[in-house]
Amino acid sequence: MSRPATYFVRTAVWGAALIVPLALAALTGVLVTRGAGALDANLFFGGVPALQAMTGRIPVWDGIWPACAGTLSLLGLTMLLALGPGIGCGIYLATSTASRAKAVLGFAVDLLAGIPSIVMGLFGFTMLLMLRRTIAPNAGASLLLAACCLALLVLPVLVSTTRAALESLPRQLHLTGAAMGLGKWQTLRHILLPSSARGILGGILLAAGRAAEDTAVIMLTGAVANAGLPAGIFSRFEALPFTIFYRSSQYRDALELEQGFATTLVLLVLSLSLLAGASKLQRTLEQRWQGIRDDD
Amino acid sequence: MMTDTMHTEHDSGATASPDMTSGTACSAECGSLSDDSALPQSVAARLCDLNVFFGKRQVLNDISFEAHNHAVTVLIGRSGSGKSTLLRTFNRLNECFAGCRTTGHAQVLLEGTLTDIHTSFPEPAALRTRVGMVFQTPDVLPVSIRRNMTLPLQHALGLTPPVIAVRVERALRDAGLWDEVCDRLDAPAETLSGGQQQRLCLARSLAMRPAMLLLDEPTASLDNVSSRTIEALLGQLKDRYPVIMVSHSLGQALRLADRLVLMGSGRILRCWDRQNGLPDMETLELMLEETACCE
Amino acid sequence: MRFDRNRIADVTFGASALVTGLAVAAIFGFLFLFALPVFTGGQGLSILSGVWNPGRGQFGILPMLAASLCVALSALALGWPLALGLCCGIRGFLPRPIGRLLLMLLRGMTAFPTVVYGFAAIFLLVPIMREGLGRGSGLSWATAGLVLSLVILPTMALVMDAGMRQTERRLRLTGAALGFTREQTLTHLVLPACRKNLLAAAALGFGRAIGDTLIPLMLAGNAPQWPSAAWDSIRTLTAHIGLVLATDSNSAAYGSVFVAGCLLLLVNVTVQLCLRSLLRTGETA
Repeated sequence: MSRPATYFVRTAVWGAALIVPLALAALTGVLVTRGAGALDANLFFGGVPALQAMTGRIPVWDGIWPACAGTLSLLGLTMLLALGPGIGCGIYLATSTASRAKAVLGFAVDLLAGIPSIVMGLFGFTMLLMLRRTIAPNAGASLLLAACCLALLVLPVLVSTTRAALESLPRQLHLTGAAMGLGKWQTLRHILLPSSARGILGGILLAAGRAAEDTAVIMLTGAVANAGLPAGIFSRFEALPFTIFYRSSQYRDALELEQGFATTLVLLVLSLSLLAGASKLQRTLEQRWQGIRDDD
Repeated sequence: MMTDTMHTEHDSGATASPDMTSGTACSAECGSLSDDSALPQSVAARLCDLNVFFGKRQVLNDISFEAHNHAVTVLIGRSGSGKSTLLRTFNRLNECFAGCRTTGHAQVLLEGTLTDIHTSFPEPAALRTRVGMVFQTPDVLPVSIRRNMTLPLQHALGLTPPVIAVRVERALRDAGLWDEVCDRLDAPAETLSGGQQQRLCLARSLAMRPAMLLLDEPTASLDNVSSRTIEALLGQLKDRYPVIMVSHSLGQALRLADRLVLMGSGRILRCWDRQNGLPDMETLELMLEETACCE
Repeated sequence: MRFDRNRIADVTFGASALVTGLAVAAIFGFLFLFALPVFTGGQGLSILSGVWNPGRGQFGILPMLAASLCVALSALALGWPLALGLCCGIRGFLPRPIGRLLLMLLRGMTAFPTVVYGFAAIFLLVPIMREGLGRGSGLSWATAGLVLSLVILPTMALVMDAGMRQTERRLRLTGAALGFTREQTLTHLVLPACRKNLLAAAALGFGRAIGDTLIPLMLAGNAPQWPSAAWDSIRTLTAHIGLVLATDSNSAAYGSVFVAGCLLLLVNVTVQLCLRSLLRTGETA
């Protein structure tokens, strides 16, 4: 038994175990120390009273509330567009019999998952060019365009998690449903989907997290630095990730920089909460059906 | 993953319409009880020259046999002999597995006539509401006891709540479970013991008022006491429902069977009827040993 | 009625599948369609030349391709061993509570937005690189590579961990019976058995690194030159697309953007094919 090999691995292990948490702590630390001070109502509403700001009665110019509203609207619209095809495709892959179609589709979904987000934004841009040349000469980058592109971006997440949730159910459930005289759709609706609902929901949260944090797509399809509250799906909008990106190079004074740091904290909290929710849902599903635990 | 059969063929030589007379076209084995009592209406199910393939593998070879009313037919054999596949032909559950191909005839007595289950039911789901199945490990759904019972009644049969409630209570009584669960019908079914869960599965099937009961090693995962309870139940139920079951235990088979069928390598090797005398345990064990070497 | 519902359901799900498939085809199709005029209409292969100077009408994006590869490979070179180290630590080299914490950390890192990594790095790492290296503005290949390795680390580590967990469970008793300690089982039995999985993680990490936009855009300097030294400012394909489209300059540069997009798509397809072949020839030995 060669000692050197184990020592080598052990060095790598301790090295990694020290470096990675340290690096992460340093990065988060700089965010928290330089941004926590600016986490107040001013950050969000820029001096405008909260209620009026939220309802849009008074426009907010110095706060990130419009960006928050923009991100939330974007999330909502994206999920609306992506849920149907995503979950439907996942169900199809998990329950279909046509193996050739499944293989092709599975590969397509993997390809979709690997497309860089900027290329997705580029695709949105090309769609815009096409629209301008053909049916809608006045088309512009908008919330709708960004949501469509983001929907394509998160589609693979929905498909994979739905498929995995259904495939992780015990095989017997299918047979039980069939033996009871339930048709394919009835088995799905009354037995399989309710049993895998948690996993599917977890997938939805993961997809939402991905959509909330993406910058490259929205950069090219409608996000701007100052647009106020989202004025409709055909107009440009603000979003948290883009605001952060913009602030990183365009800040006028120390306060704006500090607010930039605070904004990153807001986005971080949003992303982590969505992940935490997804995690909780999916682990419950796993434990219920397979009894797998992490420290095994 | 649920799959439907790729291809279901039927014997193109024989007549396509459901044949109500006794299977004169079938080859020998286990054709009928004995010549005296070969009355058509005492036959609950009949298979004629049945072959089942999964992909290229042939699992059942030229099966011809009958199961009778008011009787328990027990299939025994080594693992891999095709017992479960044979059981599943009666509710066409084999079609849920990939690459299944069935040739030959299969008939079940429904509403007084022997009906061909392939040609008369374009959708297997309709057949499966008439033939109840209980599996080896209790397959209770992850919902409450009540919902386990009402789900198939509501969605597979389309019954109304008052009818459902009556059937649920009746079925639970028939399965000997009513007294134990009547006060906690909304508790999760998974909180029941193994034996109780199996009786729940039985009750679930009984509530559908099936024409026939199929049981695949129903006591294999239960302890002795629960097993005996189920055996007693089957003894009572056989008067109202013809029972075809696979048994893992020779002792159980000898206790319960009115007709005993020995299978090996996808064929029926021998049959015995209780009125003509069942073999004893040692003979059966010897025969089982022998089936191992004949491939 | 019941059977109609089955058909409707089948058709609906089939339709979703079709929509998804068509979307993928559309993305590839349109981008190649828009890149085609570049080659058929004059600019031709000069796009693939080595000089980017729009002022003089030169739109070569080869330096960008080289920059993308350099950054991705360096991120991989740093990130993959770290991911492997963390995995081995989680699977047995470290005490279990620490291992569990690390796993939670890795999971949490997947939710860390890239733009936030970039923002933090600009104000933390860039000054350090500037002072430490003594030359350049701090926005460089090295800076981007360092942060990018952190970005791709969790994905790779989780993929490795999934594979190692299964294999370790399978081989634990075998190793113990041979007299191995847990560490030795991992080093000599599990890691070799997981080779395919580890390679797949590398491929996945590479794909992720080459496709990232924000980190190179914010940290690598964006000068369209050939990468020669670690402290050089470079521009990746992804950053290039973002810059050209965001600054809305003359549409002559657009051609280069579409070619860049196609190049990235080709890399994606290659990576996916590699992954397929790796994971098809047996997941673990």
